[in-house]
Amino acid sequence: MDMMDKLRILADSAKYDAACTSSGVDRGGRAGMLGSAVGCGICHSFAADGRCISLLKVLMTNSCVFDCQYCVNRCSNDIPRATFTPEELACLTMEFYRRNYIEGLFLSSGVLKNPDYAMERMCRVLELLRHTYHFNGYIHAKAIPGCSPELVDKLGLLCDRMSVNIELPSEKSLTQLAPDKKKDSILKPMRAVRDRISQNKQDLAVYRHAPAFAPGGQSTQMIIGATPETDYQIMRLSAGLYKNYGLKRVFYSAYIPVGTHALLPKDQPPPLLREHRLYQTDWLLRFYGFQVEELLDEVHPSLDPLLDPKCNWALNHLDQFPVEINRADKETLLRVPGIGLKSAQRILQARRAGSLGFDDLKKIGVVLKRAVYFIVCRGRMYDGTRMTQSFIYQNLTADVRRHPGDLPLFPAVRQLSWQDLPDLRPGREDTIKCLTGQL
Amino acid sequence: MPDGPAVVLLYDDTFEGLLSAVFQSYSFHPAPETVESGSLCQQKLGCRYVEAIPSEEQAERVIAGIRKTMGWAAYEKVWTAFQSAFEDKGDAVYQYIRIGMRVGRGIHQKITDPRVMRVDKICALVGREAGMFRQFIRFSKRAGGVYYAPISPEHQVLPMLMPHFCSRFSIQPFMIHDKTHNQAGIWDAKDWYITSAEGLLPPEAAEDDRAYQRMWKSFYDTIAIRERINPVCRRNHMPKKYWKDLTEMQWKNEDPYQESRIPLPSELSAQMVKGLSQGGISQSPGLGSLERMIGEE
Ligand code: SF4
Repeated sequence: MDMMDKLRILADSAKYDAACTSSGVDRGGRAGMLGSAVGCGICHSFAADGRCISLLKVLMTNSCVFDCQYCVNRCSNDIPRATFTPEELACLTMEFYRRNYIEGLFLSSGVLKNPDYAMERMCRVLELLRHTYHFNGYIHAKAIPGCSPELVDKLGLLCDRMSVNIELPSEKSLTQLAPDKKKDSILKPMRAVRDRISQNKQDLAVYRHAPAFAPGGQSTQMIIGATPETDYQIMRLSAGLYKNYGLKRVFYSAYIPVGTHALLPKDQPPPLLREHRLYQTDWLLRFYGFQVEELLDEVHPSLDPLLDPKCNWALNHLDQFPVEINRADKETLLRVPGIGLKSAQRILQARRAGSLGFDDLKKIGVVLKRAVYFIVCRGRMYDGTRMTQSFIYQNLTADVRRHPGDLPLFPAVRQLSWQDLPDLRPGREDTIKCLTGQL
Repeated sequence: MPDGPAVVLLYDDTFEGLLSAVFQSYSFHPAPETVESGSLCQQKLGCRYVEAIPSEEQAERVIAGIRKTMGWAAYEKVWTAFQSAFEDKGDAVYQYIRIGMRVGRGIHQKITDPRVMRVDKICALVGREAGMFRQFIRFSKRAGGVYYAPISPEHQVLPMLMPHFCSRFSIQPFMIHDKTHNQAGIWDAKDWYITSAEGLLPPEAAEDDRAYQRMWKSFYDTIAIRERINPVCRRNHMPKKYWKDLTEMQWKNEDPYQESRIPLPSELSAQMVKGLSQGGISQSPGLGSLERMIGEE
């Protein structure tokens, strides 16, 4: 089998992994080495599905002794198999990197023979890259559940970011669909990575030249829509992962029907809009100071398909609005729909030079279309707006409601769930954003 | 000279010349209306046109003045704006410096002032384009081991690209060929410089280069998830004007390999693949490339 065929098979097997970011490490070029890393990451291309291609995302091998039902590479699936030798993969990475095709390598692997054996081969690739080819670019490596802690340690010293995939958002689903994986075999390496990272931080504080352990942090991924967990359960899990495991990112991946197991959905389009809403919620937790319980709870466990989670929250907390743009503090500004991290910063900056009106906000980059219902400038509301739930709701969802009349209107919509709206498509704005990509 | 016709200062299209014009503008009362490029300016009646005399010393004094009064960031903006292709960039820079010299560092808070917004906008566009090329430049390996990349930017982004790529490819000599401005940025693994690309003939492609280009193209086509095809999103992140020089967007239909690679491995069974490779892989059914499946965008 030639390299071209191997590459096709192993990229095809790796494509369902959502993470392709190269962020979190800022590292200039080094003498005698090839490569650098940029803190915010660089996307080098965008595939036909609109997702960013930053790293060469391949599997070391797609031969796997495990039988996870949601995965194309499960041993019971009849697909062509291939395996890179460490030399082949290291060389390919370098050649791609030299041509500015990629930021680096995203390496994971099927379980060839057993977890430790597969991990050792991954380490070999990384050693070749780092020590033989003097590669100084970005490497993301995915540890294999059930591998020994020494190998986690070894891998972490060679790569920039490490991940262990949670795969499914609950233990029950995991037991049903991934017979070879135990909750513990996933969480153990995650804990090991967390502890090593925090220990490494102390080492670095004492001794600047201590070798860095996964300086880009740890991330994970879970599959959305393959199993019955609610958005509330999923976001609670994410919040826990951020808090207790110090994760940099949790990725959500809409399930593409590749399995045949009776419990898995079949012939159903991937829940892209739901995935998008989960990313938006994830963003609110990490950067906007929201708690999961403010956005979702037992009674309202699903995110609203029609409204982004921040608008939805604001609509249900009208008592906290309107906000005076010229006086509100940053935390309050961040909670206004249509005001993002950048525009909040710019408002603070600009109002030092004089008080701001609606025109100024527009210039600053505030999305007035969403913000006007929730703000006042110099004590005045925008002409023609009314602060009632139904008025705001009608206006905010005007361009999403393709077929008005078909959909139940406010306030019943708060209880809508994904099952009620099987073929709702994302609105234009949501389509072009496609959060999985760059961020 | 009170109440004479409005004065327009002309500069000689160089950065030094523009800054000298700004310097000389202070000797006019009232201040000149605008600063324009001498080569592009169409003279109108009712204005008095004065050619500014380029002076290294005056330019340096303006630079020092900007840094001291308005701060480093302001100087960087002035420089970046000058790299843009906008014909009225001279005026933009002139107005910006004039108010900046009056308000000092407060200029960075005046983000809703039209004169500041104009320079910010220009800088954002130039910066955005430089960012795009950091992503989308594709090198090909040439005979002798030099890596070569052609680009066609709107603005002069080479000076912004070179430091990034020199740091990254420190041990790899390369050349970025700006076809729009007919310039080449060259890194010889020790120093970098920008020179005219007049008569530049890039060396022949290296022997193995085509193979890697094809592998990259093949990787690119494979990594997309068919169930998620989203042309709008792709075009948004990767505007069509960059496709021309993107390796992965070439040979859409004419590459024979395209025809053969259509069914993705995961859509085939191991058994089928064996059959295919025995019969020669190029015999497999031509289902049309992924691109065609999506339809012409
Ligand atoms: S171990 Fe990984 S590659 Fe193997 S079947 Fe499970 S998810 Fe797929």
